[in-house]
Amino acid sequence: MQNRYLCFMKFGWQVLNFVWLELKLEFRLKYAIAGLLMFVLSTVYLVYFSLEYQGVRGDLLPTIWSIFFWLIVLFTTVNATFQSFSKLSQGKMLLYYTLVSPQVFIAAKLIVNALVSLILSLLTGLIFIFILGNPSQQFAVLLLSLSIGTMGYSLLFTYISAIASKSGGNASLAVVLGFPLALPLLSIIVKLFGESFNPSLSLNFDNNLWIALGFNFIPLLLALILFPYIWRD
Amino acid sequence: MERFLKQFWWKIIGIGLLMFAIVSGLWIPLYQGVEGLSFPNLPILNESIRNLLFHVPMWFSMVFLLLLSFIYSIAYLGTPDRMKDNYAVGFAQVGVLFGALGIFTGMVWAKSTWGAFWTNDPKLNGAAIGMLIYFAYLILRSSVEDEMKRGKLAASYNIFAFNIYIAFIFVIPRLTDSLHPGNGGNPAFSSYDLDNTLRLFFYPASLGWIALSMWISSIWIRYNFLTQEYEEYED
Repeated sequence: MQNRYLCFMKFGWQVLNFVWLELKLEFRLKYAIAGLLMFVLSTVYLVYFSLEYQGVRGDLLPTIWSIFFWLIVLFTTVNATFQSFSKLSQGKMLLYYTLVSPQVFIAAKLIVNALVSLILSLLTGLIFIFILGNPSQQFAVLLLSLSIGTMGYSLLFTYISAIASKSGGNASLAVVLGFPLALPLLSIIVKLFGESFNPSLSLNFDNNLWIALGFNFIPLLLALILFPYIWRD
Repeated sequence: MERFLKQFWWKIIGIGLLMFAIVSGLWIPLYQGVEGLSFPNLPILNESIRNLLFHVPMWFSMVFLLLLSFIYSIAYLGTPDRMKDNYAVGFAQVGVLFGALGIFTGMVWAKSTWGAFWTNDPKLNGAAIGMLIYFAYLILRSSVEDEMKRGKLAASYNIFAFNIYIAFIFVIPRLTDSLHPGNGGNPAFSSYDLDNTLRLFFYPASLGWIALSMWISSIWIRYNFLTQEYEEYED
């Protein structure tokens, strides 16, 4: 019993160390994060211009707000998770391979990617609110659904990116593989997100929240189980 | 499994059941107030109730084939072997074919009962997304050259995708509103929804379609295997 507990502690400690290392690397390579921020800023500006020239920015519907928002968040998440694998060189992979177990590696990747995409999507939300206005009537619901949705995407796309980068493909392969799988979560998250535009919650809110959490949990579990099989070449 | 797929008896029985279900399904009249063998005459469904013997069993066969593909993918990750990979991809491909057939028969049915070929129904969305997921699986396979690598990556994607897909088509429609029977408070295959005469033909039809789908996939898998062998022989 004690042994198992120690094992678990050791696993947790390794994961934490690895997460710390990855975060340091992520923020040392400033061009990666800066590139993603540039992507977000320019796409938001594209949305802003297209709405402005159509003359609909003033009475922007919340639905359109949420459509643009989730499209941008989806693509940002895909880019962020894919580059976390694609920038690993063969030699670095070999180093990790000798240092840690695959579970530690993927767990750390999942956590780091979830954190990075959460920060990015919060920033996206902030920029959206600044530029396009804040249509939500329940801000807490907006934040909650945003964080659950983004976490779900990043967990899903972390594993998909691992597959895509192993297959030697580019980011578009990650998009092709991941988007059909992201649609179930998206269909729920858009519902949850839409609730924040209403003055009160609907009866289905709890149900949808649990389903969304379930869709966070499935990729997490499957990634931990399946990654050891694909990480060796 | 290999031995089972080569045996004849289940193919004969399956085709027999299917012939029985199709012929009688098109031949038996709807209930007109006369005693005797008849299908229920329901207000909106009318004659289209016969589609129950085609549309629903096709979905059953699709889910069955995808389940087999999933099992072979797990087996492949356990001990990699080319034949298991062949089985996994063959079942998935024929599963997609049956999914497409299910969509077409369902669209015909939806047009006559709901008034449109496509509605925003959780099950329809699930069907469309399922097709997309398995197309992505096939794209992944075609994008990797190395055989071992392709098998491993495709198997792990298949396992990953199947779990999410099953959660999507079996859990969500039960929790939200749907036009399909058995969802959002609509009655499922219960005694007053599916009557006994129809049931007499529905179960054989399901078994028959599943047997047919297995037969088609066994031929398809063998064809693929022989093509591979021939190509290697030529090289």
